[in-house]
Amino acid sequence: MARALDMLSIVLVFIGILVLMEILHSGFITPANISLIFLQSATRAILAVGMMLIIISGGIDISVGTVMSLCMVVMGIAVIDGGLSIYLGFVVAIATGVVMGGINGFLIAYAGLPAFIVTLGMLGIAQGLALTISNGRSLYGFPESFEVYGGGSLFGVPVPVIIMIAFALVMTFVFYQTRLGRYAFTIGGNEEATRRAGINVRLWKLGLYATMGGTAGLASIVLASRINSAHPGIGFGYELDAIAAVVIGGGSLMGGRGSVSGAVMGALIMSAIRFGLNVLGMSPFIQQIVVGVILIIAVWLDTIRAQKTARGR
Amino acid sequence: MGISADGGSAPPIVEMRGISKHYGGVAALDSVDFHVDRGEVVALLGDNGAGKSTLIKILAGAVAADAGEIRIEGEPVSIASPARAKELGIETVYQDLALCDNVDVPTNIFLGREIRRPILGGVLKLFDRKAMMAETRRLLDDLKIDIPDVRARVRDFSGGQRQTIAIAKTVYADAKLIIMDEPTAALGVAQQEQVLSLVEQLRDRGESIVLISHNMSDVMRVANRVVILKTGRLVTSRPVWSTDREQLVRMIVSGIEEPRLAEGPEHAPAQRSATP
Repeated sequence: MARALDMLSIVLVFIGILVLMEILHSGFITPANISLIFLQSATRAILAVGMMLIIISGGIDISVGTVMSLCMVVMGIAVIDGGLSIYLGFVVAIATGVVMGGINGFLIAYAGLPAFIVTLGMLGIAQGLALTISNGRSLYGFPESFEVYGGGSLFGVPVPVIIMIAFALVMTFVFYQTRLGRYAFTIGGNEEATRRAGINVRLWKLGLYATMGGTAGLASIVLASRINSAHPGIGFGYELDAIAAVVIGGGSLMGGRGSVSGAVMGALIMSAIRFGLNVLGMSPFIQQIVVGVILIIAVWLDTIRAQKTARGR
Repeated sequence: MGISADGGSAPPIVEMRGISKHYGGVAALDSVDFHVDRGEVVALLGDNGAGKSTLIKILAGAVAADAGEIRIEGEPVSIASPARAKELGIETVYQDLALCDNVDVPTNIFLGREIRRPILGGVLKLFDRKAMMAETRRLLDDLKIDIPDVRARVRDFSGGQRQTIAIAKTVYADAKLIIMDEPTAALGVAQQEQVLSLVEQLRDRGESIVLISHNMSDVMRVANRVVILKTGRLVTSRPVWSTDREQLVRMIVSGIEEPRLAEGPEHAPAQRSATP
């Protein structure tokens, strides 16, 4: 019941933002604009769903944006320079993400380093790798068949949105019906109890970060298909949106709580805000400030909520 | 009083002999003998620093003994890790580390041993939530544990309910021996009653239990036998009917064994000598 109310309030916030934009900029709410918000939310939502799982387990991954850049560039080089088929390119992108995420997971779970520091280091490493192997250039010339994924639509629904929905459905199963998902919840709730239940907590943590990496790989495919090219600097900043989306969507940085639908709604809200700021003609520089402020406010509200819950017990 | 009548022929569920453990120069346990017969509730008593936590940690695989022998149903074993203790059928209810507050009852009961069903011809195994829910309901009803909605998160329950869920979890694990570390500590009176009546019920079903408690009336009520430690040494091991609350407190404080207050048959195999 409480969860249904939470969800309702998130949906109301989304509608509220749309209405606010309509007031500030008459004619904002059109089918075309709404469709664009959904289209632009696809990459964010995919990252946010992966981030939700990490944050539920009590962790954090701030390397997702630049790991996504790296996946995209590796795929670009493999397909455009290396002549690999686009489908093998998809595999390469996701594998790159899984490896980088796996390194994060190993350092966090087995070496016992703090997730924030490990993924901060990885943020730099992935960014540097993406720039180095691409020589800092953007890669153009994906096969035409690729454009279908970013620009095509099925029954009027853009393909990236379909991929996002399909991913959300698969991840709903993962969250509630698989060990990876359930153990993310129990590790986030009580890591020691999970360990004492005989569960290999380290291995599952490694699996969680590898999953996050693979998710960044998938997001890179969707983003690259939309712009039909690969850019080494494009992903930086997406980690901010993903974390903000998770917290807006009801995830708690204390761990143990969150949902797929919350992550998707959080991403939609972030996309609506960014799209709205664009329509209002606000510069990308100012947008960054706004997103940063939203993230801090969302975390602040989450902290207040956590304190209330603790007192209410 | 629900004591198994195996006439003393079967080996004890758990038997520890000459267990010693030193921390630096301090002996936490000094050649202690301890055993639990099938269907017996043994209360382990002693002041802080008596060595009772060390003794159960050794049984639970959390601490390794320096010397001594452990047998389970007569078989010598070594309990190198908590996972190994579980494999051997030793389940522990910890004071506060037993449950994940943020998930529901079935997730807690089945943590680490979920019921899963194969899909796509066994490529993938998904949790069978329905089966786990039904099993949980059956288990709780069976133990007369009052939990209205098993799908509620554990944090929404009272301390007493949470403790009974934690105990039910060990019952479901089909434990040979259940260790309970202060199960009624930090609970209100009504909630203590919930937990104690569950322990009584388990005793009457023939479960073997080690109970650590500071509460003498709890001990007199649910235990078959009491074992007292003092600064790492065994003070006494005797049936509850041969002692009383005041005598227990005196022996816990002084560490000196007193004569039994009543004579009668030992229900279990003869007490083993405290000297190696």
